[in-house]
Amino acid sequence: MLLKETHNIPVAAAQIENMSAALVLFRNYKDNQSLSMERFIDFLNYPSQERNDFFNLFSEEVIVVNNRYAKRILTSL
Amino acid sequence: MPTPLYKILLPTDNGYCLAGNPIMMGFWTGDIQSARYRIYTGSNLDVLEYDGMISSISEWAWVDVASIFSSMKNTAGVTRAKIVMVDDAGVESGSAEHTPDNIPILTIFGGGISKLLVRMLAGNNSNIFSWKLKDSTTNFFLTTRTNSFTIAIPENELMPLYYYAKGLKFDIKVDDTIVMSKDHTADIEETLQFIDFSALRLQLVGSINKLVSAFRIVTVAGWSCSIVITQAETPTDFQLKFKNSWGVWEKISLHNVVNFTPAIGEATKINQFDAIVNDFVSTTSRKSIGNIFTAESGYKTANERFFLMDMLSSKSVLFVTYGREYACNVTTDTTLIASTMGDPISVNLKIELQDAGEFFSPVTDEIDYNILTSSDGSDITTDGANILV
Repeated sequence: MLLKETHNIPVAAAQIENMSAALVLFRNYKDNQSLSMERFIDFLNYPSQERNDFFNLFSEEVIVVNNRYAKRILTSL
Repeated sequence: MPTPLYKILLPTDNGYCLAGNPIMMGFWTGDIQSARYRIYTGSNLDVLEYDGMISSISEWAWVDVASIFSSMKNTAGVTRAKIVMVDDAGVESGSAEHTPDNIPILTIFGGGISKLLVRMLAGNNSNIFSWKLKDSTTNFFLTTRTNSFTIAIPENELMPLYYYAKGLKFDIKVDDTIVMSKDHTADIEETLQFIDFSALRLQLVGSINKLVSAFRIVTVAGWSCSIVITQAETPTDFQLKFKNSWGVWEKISLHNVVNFTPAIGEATKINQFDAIVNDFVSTTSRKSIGNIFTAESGYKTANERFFLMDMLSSKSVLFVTYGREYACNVTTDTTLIASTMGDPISVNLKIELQDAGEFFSPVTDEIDYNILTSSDGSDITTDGANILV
């Protein structure tokens, strides 16, 4: 179940702190070294179970920002 | 220069008004009790838009001039209009309060707001311009998703966010880094501007190596509002795109199954001569077919259902599927505002495409154009009728 709202404040989509490192992880995940950053961004912007599974490869931290919204920050393990 | 005979009272101090709401102009005619007025538009305010007469048994006449700008009612944008009164000799003038060098100017913004909001703002001695549109310390974007300080937009509904720029100055920050600055304080003309947060998000991957989903709008007075891109739960091939109350396009995704129900009209019987029996026979003319889809909005919170109401009241709604857009009318039979103790509820939507006719072509699935060029022609009947049913 995707966390959409917490304490009536919206939860932002995942924030990936290091896209270059995440792309390397994505290439390993897809077993394809030639995948481009554009293809990776497309993958990140389209909802799918595969994307959720990929996010599970990261360390996730949820930060509530001034009680306005929550950020999900993903960092490579 | 003689003092003008007439006085003109603008709707607000600075002449700002919305095309979708009444624009009440006050004309003081003195003892004459009737007068002519003219409205000029155009970039140089020299295009005569309207030439009207007013009369009043009192000294003041009030005229709603909104109908003159009705074309802006459903479209975002801004235009200026010059108001003058004309004396018996045909001499145009402003008013005692407005010298000929400073004649009354209206600035008309597209869209409108509800009477409820007008009443609420008037009760607080405010108006929509000072409360929202021209205040960079609040949510000044032309979205009807929310008026609160946090604008949450699902990733698959993200559209450019528009705002009226003149006088605004703000930075867009990600964490504590300024990623974009806007300064419209020196603008002479009012303009409609936008920020494409989807494009900005992609740009930031290249510049700061991050995929960000939350942006803070910060002014000299502090943090004004936040744009939060939320994660869509499921993919969808169906969306509704509509012009909101400000005249700006927005999107709503339809999360659940979209069902198609053809609305087949009554056929007309006609008599046709049949040469075999040498007599007239009754045949059926082609029926009309309307395209009606039913869908569920997906679970929506109370705030999201207010946004849904804006879509239901919009005059321009498009049903978007597989990259194509069809004009439609959307209605609902579900109670939109219900006491649910804060629990989200789903809303049933009936989407009736405006295109109805004698022929039916499916729009809910990709048309496989390869069928038309298949080598053996097995999918093609002699009249091609089974390609598009």
